[in-house]
Amino acid sequence: MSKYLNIVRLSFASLLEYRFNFVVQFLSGLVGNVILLLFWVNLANSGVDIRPYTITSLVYYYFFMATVSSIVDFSSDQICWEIREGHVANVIIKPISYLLDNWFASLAEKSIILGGGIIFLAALAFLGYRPAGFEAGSAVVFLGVLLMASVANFMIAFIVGTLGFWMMYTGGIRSLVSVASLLVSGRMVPMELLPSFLNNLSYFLPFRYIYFFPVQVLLGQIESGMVVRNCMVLAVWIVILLAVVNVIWRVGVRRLEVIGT
Amino acid sequence: MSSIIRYLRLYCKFVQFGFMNLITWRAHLAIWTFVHAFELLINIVFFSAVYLRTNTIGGWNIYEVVILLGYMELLLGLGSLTFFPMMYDLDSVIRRGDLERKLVTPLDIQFVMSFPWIDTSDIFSLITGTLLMVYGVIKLHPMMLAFNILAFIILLVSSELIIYSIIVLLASAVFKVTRLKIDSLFWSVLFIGKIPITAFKGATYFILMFIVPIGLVTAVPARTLAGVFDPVYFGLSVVFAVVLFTLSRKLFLHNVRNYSGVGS
Repeated sequence: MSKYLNIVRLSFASLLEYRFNFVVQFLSGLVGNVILLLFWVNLANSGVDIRPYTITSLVYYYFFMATVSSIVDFSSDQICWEIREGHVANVIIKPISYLLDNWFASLAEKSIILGGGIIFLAALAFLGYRPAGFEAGSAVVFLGVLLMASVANFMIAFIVGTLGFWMMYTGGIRSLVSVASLLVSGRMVPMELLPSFLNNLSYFLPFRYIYFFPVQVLLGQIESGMVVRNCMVLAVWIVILLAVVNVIWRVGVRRLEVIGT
Repeated sequence: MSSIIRYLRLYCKFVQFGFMNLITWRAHLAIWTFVHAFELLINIVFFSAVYLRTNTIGGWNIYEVVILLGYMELLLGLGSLTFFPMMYDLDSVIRRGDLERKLVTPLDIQFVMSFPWIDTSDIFSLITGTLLMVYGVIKLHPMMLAFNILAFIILLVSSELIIYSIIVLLASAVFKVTRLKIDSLFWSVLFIGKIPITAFKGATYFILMFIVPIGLVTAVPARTLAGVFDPVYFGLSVVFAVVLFTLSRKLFLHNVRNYSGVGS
């Protein structure tokens, strides 16, 4: 375990060294959510029906969505690049798991965003602002759900990245997954405001459980029975994705050829 | 004049290389074409969902939004064929010291840096964008179509110039900060352009129109093509383009003059 803790320590050091880039990347993620929020707020003010949401709950929704997205989003580009350039061989010959190596390397960034989100939320609660259905217990459940969502989305990014064993560039596939998940994850619009066919479709894909479900938990919009059910669905998705990761990794490594120094 | 022709011929060579790449990586082209078409579909579904709840978004009807989405595709396709690749490469060029090699070429350094390669993978965005705009225009039947198209072309050029200048201004930070990726910030800001600017009010509208002039770049040309020509915004767009381009060029050349090599 200590070797993985060292990876976390190194990624913290890297993050602090290139802190300006971290801030820019975080702001980039925030811009879209702020704009979508302002868009819906202005529509609501001009008389458009946004039920079951109110302007206040929409503010919370997009704030939580920005935080959740920043935590569960992973880039597959680095994995693809390491495979393409042959750097993956350096990790394969070491007594560490490539999957866990990548997972722990992302923890520094995620923990800073989560810490910032918790401090911001605590400050709001201290000032008397909190979502109508929010309870202290929701925050604990949220952390568990967020961990599961993060693992599931990491697996998806890992699968896309390891397609680099067969393809030169996986940026197109990464964008395809991102675009495909945009509407059915609640990142663009809260699911309740979507046409029912898209809402129904989202139940058969993992993205609803990865993005929208954690936000629902924090907003207190979901009953405990549904929380358990959604956690089970998310767990099933993790098992399926893990199985796919294992198959792709085994087949991919078998066909890996590294030439050079 | 001869130097302009020289640079145009050079750019045509870059495009030729870009197309050779395109033929080599056909699957890459197919995937990106599908991604852009799918993204367009998602945007149309999104706005259709909004129009189920209202007849207008900040005074824009659904066909005006269709023109806006088509225009954004066109903007993306043209940007990829020209200067977009600059923002992907600049950080590594400076960090690895490759700038020195570019500085000794007998060409304008901003030209060399602006067109490191040509991204032909978004070529079909030009077609889908144009088709969407044509569809929107047919549905709207605007008056004085020929005049609108002429004004639109001028606005399209000034918009590309504004976007280019913004990328150069953002890229200037790369000279000061190591490992800075500006492309994600750029795409986030460009995403705003898909929303009709008049859907925003007050300070947000002012900021998006004049400070981060994304409204000037997207909404004004799209509205012009839809038949709503505003001479004030037309003039503003052209002035913005000239001022921003001059400013960005001065800053870029200043940064190059103060650049100290780090390469091997």
